[in-house]
Amino acid sequence: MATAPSDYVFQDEFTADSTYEVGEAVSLWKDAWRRLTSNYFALFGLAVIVLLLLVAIVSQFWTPYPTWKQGIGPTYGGPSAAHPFGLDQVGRDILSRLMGGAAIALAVGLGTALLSSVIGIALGLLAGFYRGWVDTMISLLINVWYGIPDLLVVMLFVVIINSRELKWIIVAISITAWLNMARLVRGQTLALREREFVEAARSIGTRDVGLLTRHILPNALGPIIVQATYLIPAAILFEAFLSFLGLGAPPPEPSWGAMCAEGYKSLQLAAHVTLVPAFALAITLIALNAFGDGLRDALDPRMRR
Amino acid sequence: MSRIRFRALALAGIGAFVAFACGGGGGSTGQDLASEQTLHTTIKDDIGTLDPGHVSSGVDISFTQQIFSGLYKFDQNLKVVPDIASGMPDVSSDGKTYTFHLRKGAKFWNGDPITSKDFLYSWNRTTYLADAYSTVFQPVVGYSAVAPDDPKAPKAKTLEGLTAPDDYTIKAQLTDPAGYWLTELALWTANVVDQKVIGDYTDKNNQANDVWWTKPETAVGSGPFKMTQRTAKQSMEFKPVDGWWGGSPGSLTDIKVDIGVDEVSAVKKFESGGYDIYGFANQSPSVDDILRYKGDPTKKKLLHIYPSARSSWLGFNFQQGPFKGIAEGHDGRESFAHAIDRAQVVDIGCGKGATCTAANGGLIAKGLKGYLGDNTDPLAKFDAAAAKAEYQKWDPNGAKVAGLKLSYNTNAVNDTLYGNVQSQIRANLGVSFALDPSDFPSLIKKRNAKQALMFRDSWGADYDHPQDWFDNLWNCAQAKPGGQNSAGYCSKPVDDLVQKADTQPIDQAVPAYKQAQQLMIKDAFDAPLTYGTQTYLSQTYVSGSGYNSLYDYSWTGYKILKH
Amino acid sequence: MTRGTLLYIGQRTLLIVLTAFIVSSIVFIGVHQLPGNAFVGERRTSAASQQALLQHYGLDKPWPQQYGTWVTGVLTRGDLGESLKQRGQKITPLLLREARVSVSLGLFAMAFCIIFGMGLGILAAVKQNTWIDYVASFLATVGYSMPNFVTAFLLILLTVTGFYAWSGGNFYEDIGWGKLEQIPVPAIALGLLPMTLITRLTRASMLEVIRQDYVRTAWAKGLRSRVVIVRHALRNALIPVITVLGPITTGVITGSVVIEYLFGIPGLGKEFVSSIFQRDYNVVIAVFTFYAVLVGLANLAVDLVYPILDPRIRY
Repeated sequence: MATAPSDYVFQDEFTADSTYEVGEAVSLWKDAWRRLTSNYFALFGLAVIVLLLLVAIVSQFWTPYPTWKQGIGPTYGGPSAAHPFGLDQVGRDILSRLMGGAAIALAVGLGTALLSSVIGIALGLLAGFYRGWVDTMISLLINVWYGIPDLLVVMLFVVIINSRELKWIIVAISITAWLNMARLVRGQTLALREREFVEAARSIGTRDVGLLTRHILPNALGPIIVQATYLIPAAILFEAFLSFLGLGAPPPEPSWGAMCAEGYKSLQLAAHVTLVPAFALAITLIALNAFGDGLRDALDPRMRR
Repeated sequence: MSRIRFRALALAGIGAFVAFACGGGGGSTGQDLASEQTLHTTIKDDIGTLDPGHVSSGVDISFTQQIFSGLYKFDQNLKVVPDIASGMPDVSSDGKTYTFHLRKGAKFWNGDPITSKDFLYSWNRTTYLADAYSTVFQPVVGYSAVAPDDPKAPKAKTLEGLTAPDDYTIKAQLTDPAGYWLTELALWTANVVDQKVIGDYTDKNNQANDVWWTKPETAVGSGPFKMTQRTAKQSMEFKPVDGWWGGSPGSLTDIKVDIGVDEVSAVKKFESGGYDIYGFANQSPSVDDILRYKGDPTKKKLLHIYPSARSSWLGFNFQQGPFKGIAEGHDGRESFAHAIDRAQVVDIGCGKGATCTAANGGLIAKGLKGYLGDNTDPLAKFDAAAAKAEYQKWDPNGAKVAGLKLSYNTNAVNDTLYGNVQSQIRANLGVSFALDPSDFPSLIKKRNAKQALMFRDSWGADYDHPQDWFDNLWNCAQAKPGGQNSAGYCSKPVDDLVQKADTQPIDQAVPAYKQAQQLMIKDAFDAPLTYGTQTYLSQTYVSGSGYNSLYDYSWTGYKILKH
Repeated sequence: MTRGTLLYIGQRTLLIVLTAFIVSSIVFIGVHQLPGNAFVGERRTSAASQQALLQHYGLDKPWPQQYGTWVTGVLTRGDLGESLKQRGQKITPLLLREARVSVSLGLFAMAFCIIFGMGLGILAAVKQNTWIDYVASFLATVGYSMPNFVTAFLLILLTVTGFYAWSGGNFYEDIGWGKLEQIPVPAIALGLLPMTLITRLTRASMLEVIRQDYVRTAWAKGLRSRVVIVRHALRNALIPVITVLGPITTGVITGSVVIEYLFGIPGLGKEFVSSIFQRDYNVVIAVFTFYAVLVGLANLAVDLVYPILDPRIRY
């Protein structure tokens, strides 16, 4: 748990055995929405996420100043009317860079969540559905992979690829982030494949692909969504770690982690250069985790507080 | 001794010991010495080696120079002066035969006497090891037999051109006259090592040949200091040599070096009195700490910024890409050079001038022979309007620079500097290109293969002679794939001038080197950026520390004053 | 020790060995896509001298042979190889020394997160719905999403800038490692995130126990009973904490990479970062493998502690 995204290990323990039958689905989603909207902390999370999305989209077309432009004002300049968050060590507008950073964070978060979910779901379905040696191999892979600190794997991957383009960062994080999803989906599939409705579908000659995509996957969707939601903050945090160590998005990309890294040596001189992106990062992660918690509680009545 | 207490005293205003200013040192005669003469300092990354046959990084050089010595050395003004040699060599009239005479009585700290045979052994070994600086012996007859370029070629064990007529005389036969050779002999590469300790350097199973320098017992040199303790990546300790052949090794009794302390923590510890100096062995405080010191009247006195013989420039590829061709790409290169305001580079890229100064006197850094003079490089002039007009004429629809990237090796300093170059060119020319940060080996490979189209180029002088720059960086031989001429620039007039100058004594040669550089400027060879600086923090009670733009001062001149 | 336990230990040990084997071979293959990169410097060296270096380190051989030699060295002599950046420098003694530093930092962080995490959790549960509970729950939620370097920034600001100015420099000597007063700040930065997790878990399980009727009655009876209850509840509260000790250990080990780098602590994590930046691949391989084994052993140790604390668990 701690510190790196390996820490989001056990969200799946809360959701591993929550499955629903097709018939319950409609009322379930409605019910979930009701529960979610009555959770203020989750709503706060949702609000921040919406704001973040807006900022990220706006930043693609407009920022108060160009995010790359240096020497707009005095280096290390403190907050002022023209620059609400001040200027950084090379005289760039921190507010503009913060906006640009939101887009990077979301791109990494969503990209990684998507890619690693695809990997995790595919492997989890295979392992759970076919069992036998397929399951043995995949489970072994998962167990071995769990024993390796993920941050090191990603750092090494970035170094070997020798490219810090965003797409490679996303790939790098995804190759370690799929584990929990795979474990979760495997558990769900193992349980679901024995259920009557799957047996029924099989008896009328539905093929494996059909069983997996039309019967098993939709029924495991709730926990999968929750797990995918947790992947987003984990990936954002991971990118921040990488950037902080100088292996994330290349300069002058305004990655929040890189902004923290560039400023931390001047903590004594101009703390705002570091603290502004650090707080943006923290608030984003809090919001995403809060929303994830809310979603989990909403989709899994048994875990209700 | 309470270092914390000292800090309080210093704050109370006992800064009266500031007897040395920038480049000063010395000047401490008549002042009381502290009873404890221990110097504490630190380096961030551990040394790679102390073996003169392998040493090439700045950190390694700084320590190697304290514990080894050779025939000649550089004085504080970078002048070559005799060390173990009894005087300057006798050079034949054709400039191809050098005869050196050794002092009698020189010995290693373990007592082994030093004779001409030891020098022959050391020089042959260095050549045989064929590491980065073995080219120091390239002018000597038989070099290519000992250090062939082809990995499969058989290797001779000794240089044919080196002989020892007696124990205190060395004769060297050169293939061609080389006016720069004597300067090269003052480098650590030509220092003497103890063959009794190291043994046969041609024997692959001889472990001592590799590990001798790692242990205090076998790290045997002839310098004023010796290593007395070393724990890899943790600490090193040095002590003066008892009864050193060269006289008194000075007043320090102990030098303690912590390893692995980053610049921010190091400055913290310096502030609390834990370190007496910081900056020895090419260490640099962070820009922010330098600025903090500059802004504080008390701390300012502890900060010393010396020029360092390093130039950095934006290089262009003459063999492919938009800047190809001496004539064809000229206007493009020149417009890029003129679109950069060096004042902003220094202000932003170098932390308000804390870590570098504007390069406006040619490629060879200020303070070195071959420097053209302040504000003499027209490529360093900033004129945004003219640059934009020239650029638009050269590349009206932006097609030439489409997909252009700036390749550099990433670290905090370079990220800032080249981020600034990118920002300025984008703002002033409207050309938007991507930065391509990579690790240093990748950059070198890309540059040497002439695949980088626009790139960070930089050179730190090895010694004070223009030959070091031209022959390593800008001649046609190095312009071939794999060579260090990253630009792939090959100009016959430049080559002719340099080849002739290389054979001449330095005083005659300098004007020719300067002329060659003017030709390169006319070809819009580069966009000059910065000259380096070396920052030292030293407590008011430390006297004699400093940096002479290439090397750290010898510990022999250090004194810890009463405090 | 039962037969089941032995079998379990055997299985787990096998998994650790397998992991170490897979990790080292993957890293080996990956890293050997880039032979010679460690030897590239500013000055060009001849092809012959590059070749000589490759030969010295055996990098000119096909990688399966190199790997075989390396594994043999590790198994027979405990020799993890020689640094590419420091010719003649053996890696094993280096890593053993650095592992001691990392483990001591990790143990401090673990102790901090368990003691304070449980303390805060119990306090929040006992004082449910008071401001103490709200503050603790808020801290737990916020702390859970706080990257450790951000925590570290705040702590540095507080100690280095804040206390430093306040005490005239006597409070905080320097960042680094070796003295007792240097330990708390990095240990807290490292332990805060798992601490919040433990707080949440402890609070939840304590509340469950406290809600039971007999507890409420006992609670109402007075202070002496309360002590009994807290002790009873504590035992139950411990169980969920144990279940997360494994992941927490892994997290602390991973997190130490950033924290050691940030605070300049000479442990394995800092070694990994610096050797990656210096392209000292032999050290990278060694640290990586070492870490995999360390994580495996730490998790095994945690698993073996389970049944002692919770007799219901059997292997």
